[in-house]
Amino acid sequence: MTTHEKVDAVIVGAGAGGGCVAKQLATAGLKCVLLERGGWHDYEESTNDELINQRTHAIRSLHGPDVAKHGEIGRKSWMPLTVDIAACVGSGTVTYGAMGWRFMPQDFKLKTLYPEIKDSALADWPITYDELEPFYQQAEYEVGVSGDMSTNPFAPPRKKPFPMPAFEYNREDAEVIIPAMKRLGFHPFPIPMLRNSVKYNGRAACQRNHTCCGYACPCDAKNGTQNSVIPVAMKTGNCEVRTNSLAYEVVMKGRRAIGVKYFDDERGEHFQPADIVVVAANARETSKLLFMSKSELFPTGLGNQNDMVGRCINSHVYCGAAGVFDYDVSSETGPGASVAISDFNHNASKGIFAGALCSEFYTLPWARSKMRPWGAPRWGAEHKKFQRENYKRILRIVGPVQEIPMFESRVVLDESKRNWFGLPMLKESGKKHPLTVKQCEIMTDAAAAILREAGAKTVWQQNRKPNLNYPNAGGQHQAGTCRMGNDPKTSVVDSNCKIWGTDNVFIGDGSVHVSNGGFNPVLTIMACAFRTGAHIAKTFGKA
Amino acid sequence: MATRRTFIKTSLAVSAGVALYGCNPSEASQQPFTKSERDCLIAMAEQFIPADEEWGGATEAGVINYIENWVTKYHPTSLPIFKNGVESMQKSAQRLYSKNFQELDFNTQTNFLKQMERGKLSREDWTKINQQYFFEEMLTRSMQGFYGPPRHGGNKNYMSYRMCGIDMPHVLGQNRYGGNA
Repeated sequence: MTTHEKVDAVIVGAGAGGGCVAKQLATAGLKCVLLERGGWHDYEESTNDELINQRTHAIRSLHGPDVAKHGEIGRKSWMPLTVDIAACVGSGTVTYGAMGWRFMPQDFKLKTLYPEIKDSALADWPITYDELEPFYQQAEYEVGVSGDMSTNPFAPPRKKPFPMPAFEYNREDAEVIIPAMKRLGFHPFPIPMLRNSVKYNGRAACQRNHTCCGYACPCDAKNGTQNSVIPVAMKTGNCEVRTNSLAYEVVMKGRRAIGVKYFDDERGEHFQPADIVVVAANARETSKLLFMSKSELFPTGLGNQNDMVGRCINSHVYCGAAGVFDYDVSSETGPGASVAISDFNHNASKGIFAGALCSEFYTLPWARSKMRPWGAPRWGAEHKKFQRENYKRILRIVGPVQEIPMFESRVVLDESKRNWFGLPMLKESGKKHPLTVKQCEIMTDAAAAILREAGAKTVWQQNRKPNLNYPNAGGQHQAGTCRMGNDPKTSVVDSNCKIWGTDNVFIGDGSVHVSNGGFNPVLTIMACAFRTGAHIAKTFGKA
Repeated sequence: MATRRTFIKTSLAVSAGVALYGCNPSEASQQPFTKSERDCLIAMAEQFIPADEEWGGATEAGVINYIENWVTKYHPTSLPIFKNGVESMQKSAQRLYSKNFQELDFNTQTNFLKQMERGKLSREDWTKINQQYFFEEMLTRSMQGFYGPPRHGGNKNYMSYRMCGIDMPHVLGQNRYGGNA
């Protein structure tokens, strides 16, 4: 065991949340170490290869964890993985589609607004939209969001405009999809994007590459923590980013954490002493680290005194529709997604809170070879003919439906399965809530209606009826496993994201989300992390 | 960790690999499949993506090179899937037609695969591997080989990219495949 020099704070995970916390702490004069199980991404490695990237994982993922080490021993390397999250400095923000959504004020008080939804773990957040608003703004300005909500009547209120103008729509969205949306009475607007529509923060404007979602940006116009807040933290001289470092225990002394134990890439054991510990490893991995951090005061895992760690995991069901047109409708402009409607978020007339519907990210030929109307041949001459004739004729509209949090949808440790480090794996259990399915039906029907109105000749729906027996789980939008609350019995962290029953352990990722909004959650993860970081800096800071 | 330069070298080696097989002893020893196994996989892939009047199919695009890369370089532990799969294919083909799969005429091969897709081939021939599992595995790898980037051995001369009419490199208005790329 190598023991390192003590620092003020150790942060586990250099993703969306960890990067923002590190920036807040380092600029407040706190010495911190940012532990990341992956390494720095290297564009030399990151080409526009459809088979090697973070979107398809066809041969391997490029910015994910080393499967041989982090995956389960005995699991075959070519089999699909549940570790479908990123692992590098910046994590998913290096390769994401980069939608930079704020949640709506209603998303913070679902229990109050929807008291009739039974058998769910719906709860109000202990903080309101207004309390988070300044930190949304900080995320928009410091990481960088392009947007314009002037045509979205359902847009959450904002005190300052976006720092960059919205992206112009793709030709097909401007000429085909948006007129159809308007004819149906919807209210289209440009998707807010964590990409530079103009030169910003010393980096270039986006050049509309096809291979955006799932790929690192060749001109660094996509804004992640790795090219915005983490470099700011490092420049202060107060933040060391330590890569290839996998945390496995938050070491507790009574109510106080005294540091974090981690493995290096060669399985060497290290101890990093610190006065403050922030865990930001994502909903699943944060839960795992807490489960593994057993101590006298927390015999079943840190923060798990009320059996709440790992519960209420929720993500999004992506559903929508695809349509084939009888002319070359697609302009092939990256990243593909450019327009959204928010008409189904908290649609009172339908009694749902659902999610946004967006034009979908561009896909390349292999992914497209799997995209066929129901019943169409999956191979052979007809399949190839469809590909040849329709490559530029398919448009898709999809959106993230909120999964209703359920106490029984959860992750727990599976001690019988281990990885190369000797650490246990996670397993999940539970079911989906019936309302999740009802929302999918309404959204897929709307997506299909838009495509038909736009002139698509063949339309098919995707994920209209997700399997209720599958747990809410995983994926890149995973959240909710260490929910925030005012009552320690039904939550894991307080409203400042400090773990109940501890003096100095905080959570800085999507685990704290009480519900996950009808939107991609990354900007909310960043906003919460900025807020938590600001609280830590104020409470423990030296500046 | 491959740099851009070594990547170019590797992809050159991959595309040259076809020609080298059989002449270079060290290359030859790395061949994962016997000629008969290889021919069976080639015939299957061609069924999935057949040549038509305008565009070549899986055989011409070199999909087998992608599959060989898959079982030797990318996921070597998956080799038994293909070995066992082909063995069972041939047992079934012999039982039904007294021929190997690759020796059947095109339409017979098609019907054979349709049976296999629905799990209708004789179970006795498929003791080491599930026929539908092998079908899906080969379908996925064939599609990846044909529609994925040429650097992995298939999609020779960007055949499928040209067929789909997509820009290469993936920058708008930059449709330059190069001299004989």
